[in-house]
Amino acid sequence: MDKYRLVVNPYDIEKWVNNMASQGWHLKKFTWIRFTFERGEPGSYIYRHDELERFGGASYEDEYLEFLKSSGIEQVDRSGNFVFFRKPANDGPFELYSDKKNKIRKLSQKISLLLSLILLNLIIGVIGLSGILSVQAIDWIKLSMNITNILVVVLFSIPLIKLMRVRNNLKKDLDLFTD
Amino acid sequence: MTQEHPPLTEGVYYILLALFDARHGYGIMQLVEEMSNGRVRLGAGTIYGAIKTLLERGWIEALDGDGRKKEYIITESGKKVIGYEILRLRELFDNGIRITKEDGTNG
Repeated sequence: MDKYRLVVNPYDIEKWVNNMASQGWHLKKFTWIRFTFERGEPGSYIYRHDELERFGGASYEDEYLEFLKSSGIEQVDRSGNFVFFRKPANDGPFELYSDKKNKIRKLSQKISLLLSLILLNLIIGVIGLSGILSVQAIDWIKLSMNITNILVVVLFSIPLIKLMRVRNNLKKDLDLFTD
Repeated sequence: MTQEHPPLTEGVYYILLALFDARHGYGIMQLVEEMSNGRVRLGAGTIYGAIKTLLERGWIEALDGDGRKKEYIITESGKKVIGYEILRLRELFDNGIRITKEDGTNG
């Protein structure tokens, strides 16, 4: 079975993939937007995602993936630097990152990426729209492009706010507790 | 922190202790869980990141092995760091016991 989701907030996707697993649909492969599931025993696996460092180098990646494998973690599929892993639920709780600082760092990377995307679209959209509306004859192609810019801003703002909230809660925890 | 020997995270403290004998990543994970009676369950990603940083610091070193499953062991400077940490923990422990005893909270 194929399902389509845009990966903006990876934590939401992870939750969704685990939800599917608890209903007996196990993730088999995925690309940017298409997720393929196959029938299996409900809740037999726990799924976790990771985003490999883009500039960590090939040996870093190999070593890390090998390391996870030797820890009994199975790689489900990978698309770019986005990877899904799974572990049998019988093995007990499964988290790739047990410390908050790592989680905060990964969230911050995602947040700055989203933020720059939003700002870029906002600037192009606003400049474009003000240019179009100031002339008499409206260029419909340009107008629809700039409206798309603004739509992107609105659409991506929701996951951005969610991610920032998650990060703030983690940071508050760090005020009281070490990792 | 402006201390000369800042506190270690619980994870790093236990990883260093686990490496008084040579171990690979999964071995560290298992021993730490066992030592802490299942309380501390380190994620594989967290252990991997910590190992990388500890190697950079020279607190642990990799042993030449068959390559695939690398084993690590604590170095002399790593042992020093553990020594300071134990002193710090003792200070915390002693002060905690002393004050709660005076108060009667600690029986």
